[in-house]
Amino acid sequence: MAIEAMRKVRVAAHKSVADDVWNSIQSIGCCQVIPGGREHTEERDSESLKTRARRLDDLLSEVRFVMRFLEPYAPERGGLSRALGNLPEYSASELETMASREKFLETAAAVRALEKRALEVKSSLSRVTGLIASLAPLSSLPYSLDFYSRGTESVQGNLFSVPAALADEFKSRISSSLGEDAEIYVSPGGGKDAARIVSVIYARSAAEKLSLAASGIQASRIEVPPQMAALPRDEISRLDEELSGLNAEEAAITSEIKKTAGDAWELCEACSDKWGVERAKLEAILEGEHTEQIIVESFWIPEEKLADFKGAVSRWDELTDIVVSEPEEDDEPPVLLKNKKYFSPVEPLVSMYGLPGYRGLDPTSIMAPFFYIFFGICFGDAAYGAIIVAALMILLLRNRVEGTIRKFILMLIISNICAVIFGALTFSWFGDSITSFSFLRFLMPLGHIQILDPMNDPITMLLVSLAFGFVQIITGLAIAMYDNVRKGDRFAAFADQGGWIIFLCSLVLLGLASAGAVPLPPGIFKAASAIGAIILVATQGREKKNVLGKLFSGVMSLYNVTGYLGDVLSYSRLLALGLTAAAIGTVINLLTNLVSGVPYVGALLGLLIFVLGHAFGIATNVLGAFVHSLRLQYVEFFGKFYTASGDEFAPLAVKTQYVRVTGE
Amino acid sequence: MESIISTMAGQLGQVFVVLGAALAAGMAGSGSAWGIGIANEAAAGILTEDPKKFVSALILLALPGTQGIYGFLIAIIALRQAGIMGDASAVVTIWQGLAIGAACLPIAIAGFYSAIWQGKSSAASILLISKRPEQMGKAMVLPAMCETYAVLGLLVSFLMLRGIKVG
Repeated sequence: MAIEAMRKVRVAAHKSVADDVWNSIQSIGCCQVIPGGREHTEERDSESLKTRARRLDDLLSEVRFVMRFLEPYAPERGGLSRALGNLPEYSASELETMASREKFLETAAAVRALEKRALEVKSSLSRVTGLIASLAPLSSLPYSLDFYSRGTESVQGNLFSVPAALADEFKSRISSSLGEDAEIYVSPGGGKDAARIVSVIYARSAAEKLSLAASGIQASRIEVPPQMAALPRDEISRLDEELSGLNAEEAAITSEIKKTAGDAWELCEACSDKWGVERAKLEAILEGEHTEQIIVESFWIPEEKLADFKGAVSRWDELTDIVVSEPEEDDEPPVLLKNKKYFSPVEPLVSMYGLPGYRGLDPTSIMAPFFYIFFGICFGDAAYGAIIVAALMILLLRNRVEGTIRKFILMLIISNICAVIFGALTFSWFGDSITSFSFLRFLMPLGHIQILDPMNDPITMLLVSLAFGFVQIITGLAIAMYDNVRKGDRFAAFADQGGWIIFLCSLVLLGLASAGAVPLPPGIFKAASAIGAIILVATQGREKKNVLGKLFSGVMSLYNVTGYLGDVLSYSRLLALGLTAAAIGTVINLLTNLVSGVPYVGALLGLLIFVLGHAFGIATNVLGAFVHSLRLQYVEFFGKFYTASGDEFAPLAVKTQYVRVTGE
Repeated sequence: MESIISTMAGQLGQVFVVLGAALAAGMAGSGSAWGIGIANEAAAGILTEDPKKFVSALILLALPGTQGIYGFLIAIIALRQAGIMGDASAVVTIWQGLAIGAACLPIAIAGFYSAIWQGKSSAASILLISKRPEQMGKAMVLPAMCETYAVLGLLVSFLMLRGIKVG
């Protein structure tokens, strides 16, 4: 149960060594910048750094653009394996050479050019396909298109789309109106085309007559693009050629992008990480106070890392100055949890809820055993637990998993070891497989360690679950009591928590004594619970002003006992989820036995149902067991004493996404 | 006439058991399907923005699925107890059959409604992680609040079934 003690260090460094100093602070990765110095900096004193930062921003945004563009074609990089921490490793100097600015800018220029070409081809493609589509209905037209697009000195052509039923009427109207001045052609209809194309080639002098004649009927004019001159079928075949040329061009560009992606992806990853780290460092420096010659910045640092820090910065002893101080009364240092080996895996669960304040209590080590045991009871099957333990162990040994994910996996391993233990104690191995399959009977001796049988004697298991709940809730109250004592509020500790602990414990003991489970006369516990109740009635109304209000609030507070009752009953889910795991296993074994009687394929079908069924059982139960054990911690346990008000310790560090930086 | 009535009486018990099992598996399962469907709409929505959230969304939308499993379990336990599945030697009277059928109701009803509301909670949690992915822990615990009552329903159904002696 610990929160790492923090110290404040104030570093002053001459500008000539600032880069190196901050580099080494970044590489030890245990100093969190305290913001605020920036406000005292004159604009001109930080100008050159700001310019550097802006240049890096430009580069980084270019990297992001290039990577987004190349990503669909990037070489396969083993996403899962990378997520498990298997990143290519480089030393800082190797990374420096890899992340070459010149090479990257070359790549970026090539990518920009490719992008431009790709866009052009794309727009040409859509233009040509559009033209082909619009010319398709005209393909049978026997006239050149320049009649319609430009016309000649005396003759002009118009194209109309007319519903098939009206085509003849349209033709006769125009020929009667224009007579010799027009030559009319109607495209042969047919197929599913409901419209006919009508071509009218007419003397320019008759233009008005035509528009008058055409306006009376449902005909829409088809515009022909001005660059179209030849016969429609010739134009179409020319466009088809153009289209296949464009398609070839597009394929060429794609393969060029693929090649660029293959060649330059590593470079981009290196640049992205290198410059990202550099940018974070500049941001940290810019957060400090700059004068003409020096930069002053304060950091939070865990007390036990002070020696590392001093060692790292001592190289520039003459050009730097360090002042270490304790956090002050009104400081709110960031929070870094520090727990023993077997407890620290549940730290991620605590920080998911919210970290404690710097001066608060870290609940990790108290919550950890409860979480492990509850998960074990809920998952409740020895074979399921063993499978998960084995799978996660292999995962952990084969990969370089670090940080939160590592803790998470360790947490699941310990929880599942509890599931193995609990499963063994309830004789649940793949449900009831040992009793239901005759060839597994030789494992029957495993039944000797069975001490509980939730399927046939659920009441005992229910009492065990509720007892766990009662213990955890009293633990929660005890921690709150300790916290009050620590803060110097002994009265609240005695009244708020002490009263309840006496009252609740003696009520439970009274029940046990009445049932004969405790060899003491129940009267003692009656008296004790009365004392607890009197404490509560006397103190719980102390905020109220008049005596009547105090008494009323005091008595009403006793109703909170229903809240505690509800909390304890909530732990019955331990039994219920444990039962689900065991029962699903049993049902799958039952089904396996049913199908294995089928002639010829029975054994195969049985095996299939057994494997798939239990895999399904593991998947659903592990989720339920995790969520519900977590809920018991968050709602029932944390509710009694815990306030999450801390900020996470976020040191300036070498944070990379694609590569791992090792050593100098 | 007498024989018809006695035959009916001999089988009616089993009919009640089957009815109860049908309700447990059917209603709790429908509730789960409904709940997951609601959560699915939210999940598909956030995946259009960020396909990388698939796994988190899948975990959250699977949460209302447990009620269906609870109902299925109670159905199987009820059928076994009445000798309809597995050991066929057990014979249930009308009253025993009625009791077993009634014992299936807590999970049928609590499972049905809690799964739907849990689906709505899951949908809300999915929207939560679309904005604040680091809040996955809280997002998982919120829908589990609804499931509590399905768990209690399961427990009561189970305890009732265990309490009915068939012999």
